Amino acid sequence: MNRREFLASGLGVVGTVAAGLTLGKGVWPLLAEEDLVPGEAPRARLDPQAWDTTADRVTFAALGDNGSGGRQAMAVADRMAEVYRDRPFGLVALLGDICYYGNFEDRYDDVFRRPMAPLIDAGVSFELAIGNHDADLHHSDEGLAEIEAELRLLGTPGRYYASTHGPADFFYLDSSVPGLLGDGSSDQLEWLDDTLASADNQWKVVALHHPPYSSGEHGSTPGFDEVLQPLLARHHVDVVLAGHDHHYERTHPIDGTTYVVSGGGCKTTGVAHRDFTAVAESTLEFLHVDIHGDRLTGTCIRPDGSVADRFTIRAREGR
Amino acid sequence: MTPRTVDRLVAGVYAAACFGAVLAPALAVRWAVFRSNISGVAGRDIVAASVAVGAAHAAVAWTRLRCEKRTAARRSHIWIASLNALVVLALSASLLVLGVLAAFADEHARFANLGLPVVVLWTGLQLVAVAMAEATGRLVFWWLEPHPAPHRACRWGVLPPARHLVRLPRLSWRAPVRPPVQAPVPAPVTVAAARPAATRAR
Repeated sequence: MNRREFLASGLGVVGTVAAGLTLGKGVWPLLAEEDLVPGEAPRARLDPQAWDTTADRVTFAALGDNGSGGRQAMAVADRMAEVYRDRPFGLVALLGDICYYGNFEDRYDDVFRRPMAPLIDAGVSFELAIGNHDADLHHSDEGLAEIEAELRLLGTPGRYYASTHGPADFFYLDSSVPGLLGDGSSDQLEWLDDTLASADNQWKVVALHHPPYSSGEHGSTPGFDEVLQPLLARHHVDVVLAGHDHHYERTHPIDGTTYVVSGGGCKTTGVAHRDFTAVAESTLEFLHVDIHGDRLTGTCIRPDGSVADRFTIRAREGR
Repeated sequence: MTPRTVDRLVAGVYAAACFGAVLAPALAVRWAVFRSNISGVAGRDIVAASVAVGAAHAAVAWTRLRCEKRTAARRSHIWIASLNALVVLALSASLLVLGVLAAFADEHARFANLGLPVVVLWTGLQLVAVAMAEATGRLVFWWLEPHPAPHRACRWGVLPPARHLVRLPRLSWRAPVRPPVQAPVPAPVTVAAARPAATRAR
């Protein structure tokens, strides 16, 4: 073997090993997890303001981690528009990570305006709980600018806020750091404590990005069981909606509160079953919630229209 | 098995590996679609495009191997060059797709908005990967072959000279063997030169 043959064959062998490791452990799993292929936006025409929100009734949808603008995000958005035809809802609670692969100001049309166009045109309102991909986990200047852009473009009043729809009070939290954990988190916790205490509606729904309980890839957020969970139990919160992990999961009531992870807005990751898990599935999905009087009915709907989970909660159940 | 059969078998395995390297990223995307409970049709266009590009490249690779076999100075040159080409193909077919789709997501979404199907972009990226692999294979093969020597045209481009045309010494780690330096041979003494000048004058 001469020098050139030795060099070329060595390069080939090293390249084969490197390619095997890079592709097998990095690139192919990433392609299978991400939603990189651009998709066609839904073209449904929906009846405007077809929902019926009264003092004892409200219907809303919850959607997390939908910020790719890819085919899978479009499939979920398309299904939301189809569900709106049969069971119209006037509110979408966005559970964070509404923009991947770029900043929200540049990708506003791709990740939000186009997928949600039928619902936006129908007058549905969107309320956002910011997520870690919407800024850095630890807020940098760039991260804060990204959050500001999202709040401005979606018309959201602040990083944490409350709203009322029919018989339900909604509390949207900033679960990043420093949000509910670390230095500077006391402001939001004090606000939450006060606002929950003064809320007098029949239903209390908390929405945030990082899940207090999850059996998925990221798992339960460390520290929330000490900081957040006792506070939610003390104020008799009915449902906590979260994203971050890309699957669907509902827990058994924990101190009277049901925790739902609905992070399958455009990608999926694996999920296990733990002690607190009632239902868990790795699937694209969104959650449709109908509150009528003292009964809350949640339905997890896959992009093909099939139902992954349906549950009912009675008001003040388990308190 | 005859050497000819073995050669054909190995060339077939190589062509199949090329096909697989092109198809793999499409299958990864299709797996995501399959796992996500989207309708069964989604993602099939990308797989179909990759099958077409992969099959075409497998045919080109097969023909290249057969062509190189006729001209190679050593058989190992063909397989070393092919291994390098396969590495470049596998990496570029997947990394190009991942990098371009992730880094220019909003541009692609804009194209999709304009009605340009994403399968065109996908096919283009895979063709670039195939071109890079073919260029690598031919370049490495050319580099390994003895040269300079007159090149000749082949069906798939210009190839190094045929073995029977090459008359250069093989490259080696050892210092080249030089022919021994011979001492100058004294001119032969002729009868005329040996005669005294006076005698010649006469």
